[in-house]
Amino acid sequence: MKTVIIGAGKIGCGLAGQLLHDSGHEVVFVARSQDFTEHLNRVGRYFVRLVGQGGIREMLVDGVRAVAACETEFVAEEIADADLVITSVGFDNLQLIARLIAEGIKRRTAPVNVLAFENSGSAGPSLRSFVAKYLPVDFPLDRHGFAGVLISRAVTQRLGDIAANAPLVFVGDPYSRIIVDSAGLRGPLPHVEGMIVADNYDAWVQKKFCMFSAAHATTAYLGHLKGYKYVHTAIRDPQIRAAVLTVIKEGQQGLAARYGAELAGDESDCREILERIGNAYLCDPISRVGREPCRKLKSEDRLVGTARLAEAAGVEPRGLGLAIAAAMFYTNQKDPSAFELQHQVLIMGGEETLRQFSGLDNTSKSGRLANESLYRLTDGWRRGGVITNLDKMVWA
Amino acid sequence: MKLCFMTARRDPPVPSQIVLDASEILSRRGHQVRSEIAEETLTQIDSLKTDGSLYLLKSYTELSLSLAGVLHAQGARVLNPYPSCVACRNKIISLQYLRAGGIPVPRSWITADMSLLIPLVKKMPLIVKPWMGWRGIGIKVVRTPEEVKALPVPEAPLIVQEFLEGTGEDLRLYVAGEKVFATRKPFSASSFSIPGRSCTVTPAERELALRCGRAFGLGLYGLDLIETPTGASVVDVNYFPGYKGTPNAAEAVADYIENYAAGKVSLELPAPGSASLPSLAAGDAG
Repeated sequence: MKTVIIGAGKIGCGLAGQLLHDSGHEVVFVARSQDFTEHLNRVGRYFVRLVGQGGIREMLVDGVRAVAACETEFVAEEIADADLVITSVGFDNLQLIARLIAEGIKRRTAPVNVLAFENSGSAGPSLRSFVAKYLPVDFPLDRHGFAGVLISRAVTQRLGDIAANAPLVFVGDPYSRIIVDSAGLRGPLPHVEGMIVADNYDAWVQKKFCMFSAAHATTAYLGHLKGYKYVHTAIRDPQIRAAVLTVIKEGQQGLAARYGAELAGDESDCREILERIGNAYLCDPISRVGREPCRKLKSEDRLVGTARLAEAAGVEPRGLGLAIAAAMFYTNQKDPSAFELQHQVLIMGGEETLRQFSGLDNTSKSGRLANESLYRLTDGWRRGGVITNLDKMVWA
Repeated sequence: MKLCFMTARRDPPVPSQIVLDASEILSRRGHQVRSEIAEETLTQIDSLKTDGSLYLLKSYTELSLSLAGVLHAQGARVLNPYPSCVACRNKIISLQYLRAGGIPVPRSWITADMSLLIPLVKKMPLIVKPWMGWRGIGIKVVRTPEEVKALPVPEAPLIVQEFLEGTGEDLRLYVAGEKVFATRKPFSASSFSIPGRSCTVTPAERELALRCGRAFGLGLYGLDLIETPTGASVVDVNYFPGYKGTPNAAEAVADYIENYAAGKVSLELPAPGSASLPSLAAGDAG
């Protein structure tokens, strides 16, 4: 069994590659970087280090090789006889790799499933439409599957030097479950450790977004306001912890109203999320968790989408309102999205920027709460640089 | 030559990339380069002695601007010149300099009585901005009389402008002397998360950008334009921006600083009434 994984980043190597290797597949990566391609072909292996309360477990992923993404012909040949194709490039980059997939699919005789490890409800259908643009109109693309995949594992670091001969180490938490959207599949999938094929994929996506992802982002943005560098230290701040727990519960209530109490879970789900965020072994920086605030403030994304879901369930999303406002203050000189956000705030103010990014305004409860928090934060922020008391809005 | 960047506190506390890059280039060329943050320095202004440095005003804080004013009054050289920085920093005054320079701008008003905006907001959405804004604080878009009534009593002078809903692209132009850089961003509900991309500058854009500089007497500056059905309009001009997303800007900035320090180029805020071009405010036609 051969699997081609397009995207040799933290999730590509730290999750997909490890799971497929442990399931007995030959793994071939398609890597953007020529240097990384050469490293992988020279060393032929890497480690995945899973860290958490249960200790540290290190797994060897060997027998791997790579092809550079710029070598279109070679990539197409690998895809032509693969049993499975995986993407792990970030939703915004799916258009950039669509042509590679199209070229490979053209050469195939047997159908194949392409799994988009992109944590998005629409990744499968979107990827299909991107690939279709590079194929003749009458090409039988429907023979092939394009399915979104929801991943649980956080892979936060890549350790090592690609110029050296020592294998790299990818550090992540020990969550291996991956959920595949059955609607996008064509034919059976080969066995993959940890994989669940779900008919109610959308519900699972919502659960992850509305609880874990919302909580994770909230920790990052409130942590940024309070001057923390890592999410595991921010979540240990009692005020941030309380605010994050509020966000989790608001999301949980929204989920329960729409998808039922069983999916939404109970107190143990809330505790598990706080524990995951508090995993100090991951050393997960706020700059990584909070990256791309413009995307995270979109109407259907983890903060605003969850607020809307909670509001629809009759919940007052006060915690989410604070989280949304905190996201508006996220600054990171190295993050183009954060720069874009701040530039728009500079041109048209915070409230209008929030409206244009997320659709939230004072016509909705979520919008009013977000704007209320925005003004409270702005008022203190103009006088100081770091917030020392979130409840009383005291700034230093 | 001695060069002193007047920078602002940042979070995280690292200088802006353009300052870092330009400083490195200038240092390699043998200049003595330093940075100072006015808020973190004790400066005795009644006996301030300058050492012949060229002061590069990067910060937008009131303290830094005031310090630049003190330096200017003492005859020290400041880039961009202090009067030019004040003119573009003050959104009320800057509008007049733009109009005098023939730059298309939104229709604009000033008042301290927000109730006077009610008849206006019935005709068009408005954007209310503090006269000396910082990081977007205090900027508010209003679309209905109710939103106007909810505006707080102004604590500082405001400028009120027609709010232009972008329909095409947001265009940012960055200028260092005669070198003009551009980044474009498509304007749509789905494109907000996409950062601007560097792109080529058309002759018309270049001419407009350089005209903005001449309008204020600026050499290192940026401007924001919004495309509307009636044409592009300049909605903001700022001195010594970050030149984000523009490759090779640091070299151009360093070159300009060097030439200015050597006296090869000079800048001057135009004298009142000296502009001869007609004003071209968006919405004036018809």
